[in-house]
Amino acid sequence: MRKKRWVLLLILTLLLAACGGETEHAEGPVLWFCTGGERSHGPALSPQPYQGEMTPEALLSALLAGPDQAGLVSPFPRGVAMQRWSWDEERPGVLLVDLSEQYGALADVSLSLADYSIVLTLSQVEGVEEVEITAGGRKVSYRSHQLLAPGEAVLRDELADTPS
Amino acid sequence: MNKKNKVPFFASLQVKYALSYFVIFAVVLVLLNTYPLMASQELLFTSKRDSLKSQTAVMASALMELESLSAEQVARVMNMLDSMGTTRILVTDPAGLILYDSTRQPGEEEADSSNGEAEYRYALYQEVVSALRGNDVFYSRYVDRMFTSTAAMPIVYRGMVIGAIYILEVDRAQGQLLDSLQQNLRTISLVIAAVTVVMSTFFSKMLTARIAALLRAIRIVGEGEYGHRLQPVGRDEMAQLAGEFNQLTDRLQTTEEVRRRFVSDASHELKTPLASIRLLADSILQTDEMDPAVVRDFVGDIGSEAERLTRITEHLLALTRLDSLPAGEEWAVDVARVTERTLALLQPVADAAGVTVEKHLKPGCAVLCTEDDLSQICYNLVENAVKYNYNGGKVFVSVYRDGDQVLLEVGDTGVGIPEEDLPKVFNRFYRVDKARSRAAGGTGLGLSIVRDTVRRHGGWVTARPRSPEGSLFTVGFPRYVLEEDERGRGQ
Repeated sequence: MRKKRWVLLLILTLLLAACGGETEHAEGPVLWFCTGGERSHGPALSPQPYQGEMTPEALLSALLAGPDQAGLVSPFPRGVAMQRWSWDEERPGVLLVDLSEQYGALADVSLSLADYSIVLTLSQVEGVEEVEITAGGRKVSYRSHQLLAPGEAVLRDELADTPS
Repeated sequence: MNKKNKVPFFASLQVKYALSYFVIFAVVLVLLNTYPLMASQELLFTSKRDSLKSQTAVMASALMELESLSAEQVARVMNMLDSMGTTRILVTDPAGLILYDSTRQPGEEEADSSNGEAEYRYALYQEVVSALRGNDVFYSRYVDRMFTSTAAMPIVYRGMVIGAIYILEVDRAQGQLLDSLQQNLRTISLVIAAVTVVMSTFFSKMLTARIAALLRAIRIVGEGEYGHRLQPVGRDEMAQLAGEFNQLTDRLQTTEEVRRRFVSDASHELKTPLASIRLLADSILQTDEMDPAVVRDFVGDIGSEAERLTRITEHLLALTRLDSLPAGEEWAVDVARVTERTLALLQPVADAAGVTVEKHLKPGCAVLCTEDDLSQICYNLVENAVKYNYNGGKVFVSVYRDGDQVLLEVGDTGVGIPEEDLPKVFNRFYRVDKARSRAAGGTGLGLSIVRDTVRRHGGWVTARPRSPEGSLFTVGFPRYVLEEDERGRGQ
C-alpha cells in the first residue's frame, strides 16, 4: 500500500515537472528587473510579480527598491530616488518621470536597461503609452530619443525562441 | 511435480537468466541511444561555435573600420558581406539600439523613417547586453529537430565598445540529420531488443532445461529408482555435473545393492541356525520315548547353533560399529607384542586342530592403532588359518618392517583359495566352501571385519595363494616412528 502511494507521488511529481517547463510570467502586474546569473541566452529584463497599488508612484517606489526574487538584479545605481512624476498635459498618454541625479550616471546599454525597466513597468498603468525620464530635472542628452515606448524594447529574438 | 516443489515464476532460474541478459542488453541499448547522439550534438555545437564566432569576428572587424556606427554605414558594410547562411544578423550601437537587422528589408526601415518618426528598437537580449559589456557570447541548443545557435561579439574601436554584432543561425538540415540518426538508432535498438528477448528466452531455456533435467533425475533417484542416469551433452560444466551425478548414482546404487545383499545374507545366515534349532526342538517334542543320549545329542546341537547365532550377532555388531563409530584414540602399538599375545590365546585352538604355529616377530614394529583392533585383526586371520587347515598343517605368522611400512603376514598350508575367489573373500558372508565354513563354525564375516578394521586405521590387506600350498594374507600399516624420548624409555 505504501509502495503504491510512493509510486503515485512519483508520477504526480513527474507530471508536475513536465507541465512546469519554462513558465511564462504570471498574469497580473509585474516589475521589470535585469536578469542576473550566468545565463547566456534569453531576455535581459525579467518580470517579478507585483501586488501593490497600480499608481506610477507606487510602482516606481517598488521598482527602485530593487528585486526580492532570486536571479534578478536592479538596473539602477545606488541612491536613485524618484523626485516627481506627472502626466504631460500637452501630450496625452505621456508620463513624465523625474529621478534623482544619480540616474544620469548611467550610459549605453545600462541606461537602456534602466530606461526600459521603468517604461515596461509604468506602461501597465492605465493610460500610459510613453514615458519621458529625466535625471535631476534634466534630459539625458545622449539617449537616442526621449519619449520611450514599451514596444521599443525587444526582449527576445522571435526567430530564435519561437521557431516556425 | 507437486505444488510444494514448484518454483515461483519470477524466482525461477530461467526468468533470472533471461532478465539478466535483457538488462545487460537494455543498458547497452540505452548507451547506444544516448552516447552517439550526445557526442554528435557536442560535436555540432563545437563546430557551430567555431563557425559563428569566426563569422562574427569577420563582421566585427569589418564594422570597426567605421569608427562610429550609423544605420546607413552599417547597412552599406553589411550588404557587402556574405551572410553565410545565417538566419539573422543584428548590429547595435553601444546602447543596444538596433542599427541593422538582416531580416528587415532596407525599404521597411525607410518607410518607417518616412513617417517623420524614426523607429527605435532596442535589442535587450542577454547575448547583446553581454557583448556590449565586452564579452564574446555563444549559445546553442537542439530542440524540435533544429539547432538554434546565437553568437554575439562587441565591436571595438580603439578600446571603446562602439556597438555589438549578434548572429542567429537556425539549422534544420543538421538537426534533421541528427534526428534521422536518432530514428535509425531507435529502429536498430528495437530490432536488437526484439532479438534479445527471443535469444535470452531461448538461451535461458536451453540452459535451465539441463538444470531441470538434473533436478528431475535427482528426484527420480531420491524416490528410489537408482538405475536412472543422465545423458551428458557437450563438454561444459553442466555436462560435468551430469557425469558427476551419474557417478554418484552409480556409487549409491552399488551401496544400495550391497546393503540389500547384506540384509538378505544376514537374514539367511540367521535363519539357518534358527531353522536347525526349531527342527531339533520339534524332533525332541514330537518323539515320545526318545533315547536320552539322542536327546542330549540334540540339545548339544541346539547349544552349538545358539553359539553360532551369538557369533554371527557379535560379528554383525562389530561390523556395524566399524561402519558407524569413529576410530578410537590411536596409540603407538607394537605389532609383534600384540601378535604374540594373540597367538598365545589361539595356541589351544591350534593344538586341538593339530596345527603348528611358526612365528617370526621382529621387534620395533610400531603402528598407530588401538590394541583391541590390532588384536582382532590378528585373531581373525590366525583363527582362519587354523580353521581351514589340515591336521598336521602349519601356520606361519611374521611381523617385519618393509620400508616405511609394518607388515603382518599370516600364511597357512591349508585348503587354499581358488584364484577367482580371491577378490571376494573380504565380502560379507562370502565363503569359499560354505559347508566347510559352517562346519568350522565360521560366520563369513571374519575377513570383512579384518578389512574394515585395517582400513579404519589407514592400512591395507591382501589375500593371495601361498607357494606351494595354502593362502597368504598380508596386512600393511604405515610404520610409526617412535620419538627419541619414547625410544629411550623403551630401551
